[in-house]
Amino acid sequence: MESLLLNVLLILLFLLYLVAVEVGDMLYSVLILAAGNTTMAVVFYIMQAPDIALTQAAVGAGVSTVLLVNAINRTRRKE
Amino acid sequence: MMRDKIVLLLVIAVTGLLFIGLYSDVPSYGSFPERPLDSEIEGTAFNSEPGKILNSEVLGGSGSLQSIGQPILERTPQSPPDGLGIPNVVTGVLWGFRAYDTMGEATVLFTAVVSVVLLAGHTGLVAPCKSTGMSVIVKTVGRVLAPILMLFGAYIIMYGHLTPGGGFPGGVIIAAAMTILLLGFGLRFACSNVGFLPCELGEELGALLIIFVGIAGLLTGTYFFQTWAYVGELGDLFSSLNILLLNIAVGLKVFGGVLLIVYSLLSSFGGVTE
Repeated sequence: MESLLLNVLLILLFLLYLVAVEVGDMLYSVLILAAGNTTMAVVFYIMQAPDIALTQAAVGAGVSTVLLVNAINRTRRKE
Repeated sequence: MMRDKIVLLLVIAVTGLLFIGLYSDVPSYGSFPERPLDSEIEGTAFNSEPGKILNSEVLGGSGSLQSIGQPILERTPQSPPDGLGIPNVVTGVLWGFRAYDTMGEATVLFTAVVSVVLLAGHTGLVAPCKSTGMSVIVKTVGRVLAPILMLFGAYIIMYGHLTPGGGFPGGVIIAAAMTILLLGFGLRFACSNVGFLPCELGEELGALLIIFVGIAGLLTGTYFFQTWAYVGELGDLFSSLNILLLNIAVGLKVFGGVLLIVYSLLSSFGGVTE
């Protein structure tokens, strides 16, 4: 059961990152990347690494998103 | 153009096929397959001459890679001198057995923060920005969420030696709470509450406190980062003061460093345009 959940999450992770690469709008790309990082945190939690999950959630979904949105704000939004 | 795409697709396909082919070798999650010990494989480090000495004298003769980690797992959740006196094995490894490595990681973070601040041209002043923040929804949510997140970060830091967490996640969570305030109310509001100077002080005092705890171990004991302040019972909040101090230090350092990076990048090159 745990293994099944892990596989589903990993497939979801792959799809999210694929969409993040393929989508034309960079802002959507960054937001989907944040969703992918949150999924990654859940994967780390299932793999019994709650330390890493906390850091991944805070850095990946919190701080890096702000920096990337700021970077998009100063450059172009469309690819 | 078309040819490039075909080449790229081929490279990706070959890499994907390699991954799929290697996937059969990966053990399923949670299982420990039977595999030969390193000492039984010819030509590994454990079977060479220095490896045999290490194997027989230091490790008690078993010599597999698992048995290297085994003493740490057995020793850590005990009181000194047998263990570090903390239940959290990960923090025990990070700040007890590998404290010198973790100090190196803290140095890496320090260097990164200094580089960003140097490159982004930190002037100490926020460039004039028209922004007064985002909509009332973001402001209300941020006003409620940020103090709770800060409290949670402080809890993660303080209980880093008892529950999962520690200085780094706690510091990043507090910095993320400040980032929520920054998004909701604008950079000027955030800087007027926690400015550049407290961030720099946190970064530098944290680094100094790490070194101080290490040198205190050297002065009171025998080696750098020795556990020197052990009070209380196993599982208490103030049970291992040494590691608690180190967690607080690295929490301060990470909070200051991450917030300094965010401030510098957001206020550099002509201020926030948002």
